[in-house]
Amino acid sequence: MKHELKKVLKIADEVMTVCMYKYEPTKTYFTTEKCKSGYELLFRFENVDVSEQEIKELRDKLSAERNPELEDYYWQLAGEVENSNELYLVALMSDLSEVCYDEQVLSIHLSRKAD
Amino acid sequence: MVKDEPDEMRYDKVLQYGIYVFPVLLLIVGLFSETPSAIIAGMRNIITSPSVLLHDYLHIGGVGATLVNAGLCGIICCVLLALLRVELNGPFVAAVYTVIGFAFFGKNIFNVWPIFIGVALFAKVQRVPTRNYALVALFGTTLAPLVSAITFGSHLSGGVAAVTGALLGVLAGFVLPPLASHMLRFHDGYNIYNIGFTGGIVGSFLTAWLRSFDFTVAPTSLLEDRYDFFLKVLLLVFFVFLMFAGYVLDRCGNRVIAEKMRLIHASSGRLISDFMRIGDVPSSVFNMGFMGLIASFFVIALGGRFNGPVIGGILTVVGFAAFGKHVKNCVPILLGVYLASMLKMWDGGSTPVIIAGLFGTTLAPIAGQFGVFAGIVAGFCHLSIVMNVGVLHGGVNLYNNGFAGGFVASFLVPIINSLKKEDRS
Repeated sequence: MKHELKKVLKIADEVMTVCMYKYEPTKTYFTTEKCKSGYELLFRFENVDVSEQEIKELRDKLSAERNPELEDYYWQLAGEVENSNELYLVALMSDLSEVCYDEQVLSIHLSRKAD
Repeated sequence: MVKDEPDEMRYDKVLQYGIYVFPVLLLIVGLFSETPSAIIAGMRNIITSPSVLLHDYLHIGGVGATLVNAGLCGIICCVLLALLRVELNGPFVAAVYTVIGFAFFGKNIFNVWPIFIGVALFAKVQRVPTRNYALVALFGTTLAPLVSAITFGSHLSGGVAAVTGALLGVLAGFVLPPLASHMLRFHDGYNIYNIGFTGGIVGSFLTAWLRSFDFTVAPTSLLEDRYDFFLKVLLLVFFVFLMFAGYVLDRCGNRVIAEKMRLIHASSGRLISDFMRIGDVPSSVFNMGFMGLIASFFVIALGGRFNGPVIGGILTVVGFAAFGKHVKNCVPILLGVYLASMLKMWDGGSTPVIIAGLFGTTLAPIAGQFGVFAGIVAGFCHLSIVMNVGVLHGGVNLYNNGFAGGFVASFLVPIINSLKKEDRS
């Protein structure tokens, strides 16, 4: 798919922007792994206070199905705005999402399959 | 977590068939409102009109043909989406209603096809499924008058004019997908009618090119107010029906419409805010009906008449009530435009000012993100800009307010951002 790597970087930008502005972590880690099926993205935000309700909302926003019809048009918007609080676009660009919160560490795992 | 959507899945069929309700209603009402010969003659007049801004089809073809044209354009969109197996959601509902709205003054069953073909050709060249650009294709019909203006409004002779018009339409459709995606960064999603902005750029480029070959492409103003009462009643009844349908759907399902409406109202509306996802289908349908009433009230309060462009503006607000617009982020824009009309040189009850208000709600995300005052300022600025940019593309870009909105958003948002206090939430 065209712009595949750029789209992965946009996803990373959007997640980092949203979480760093919203939760103000003291340490942030981002790893990406390119595999046969596509890309795996893992984010880890340390020393953050996130309520149960916020975790629920985060999971809900990221649960939207991947949508190529919207992705091919809107992907360039991801990561562009510092006060964005929407992760919907990230959800439209990823196939699988996982959100964990334990001992003030927020972890987000995203998977994006190559077409 | 593997993604699934159990709640939304139940509404798939409702949306799949429900989206046909309005275009079919328009088609039926149109067919019964005039004689068949009058409708056929009216359709011929509509199809052969240059269709640049503001060609009110109610003036050119009469009410029967206009409603038939609007209904058919809507049905064409719905069938295309079904054939392409597009999953319907807020953006596509907005696109279908926008096409129907503009089928009252600029889009017709003849001039939309070259744009569709151009977008499909781009998808083919890129080797991606055409449905990935279906949204661009529907919104991209903003440039449909380019086809009509060359085919029926130029100095070229019949066959040459038709081929030139069609080729330009295909070219416009072909360049829209990459440009539309790129232009989002100009206003960061604060101008909901992004393809209006893109269409303005493409239209200005092509119009300048045409003018250098001695083509005359200029905005005009043909408006028809005779059907005001009939269309007012038709639309108001439909908007009440939408609210009722949303309420009934909710009663059949989750019964959480108040909670879902709260979520919709909490959204800034910045692209991409799919209210069918943020809320759900019933709450979005309810919001569509409600916003239709708000938009109609705005027109009536300003003493405006329900003509083609005004109906187009109202229906676009209704469509985008599934994709970014709600009462909290739209009313400040409407107020801003109204205040501007009081202080500036334009008559508040005139069609240009009224449609500037209705379509000016393209800037609703500014009010949604930065507050009521910012929204009023955006609306205030928008009126002046929209009155001045149409000449650039000569009226071939129907979403002139989207074009103007792109400039207003890209001008205001960086300033507002730099002035606001540091805010981490």
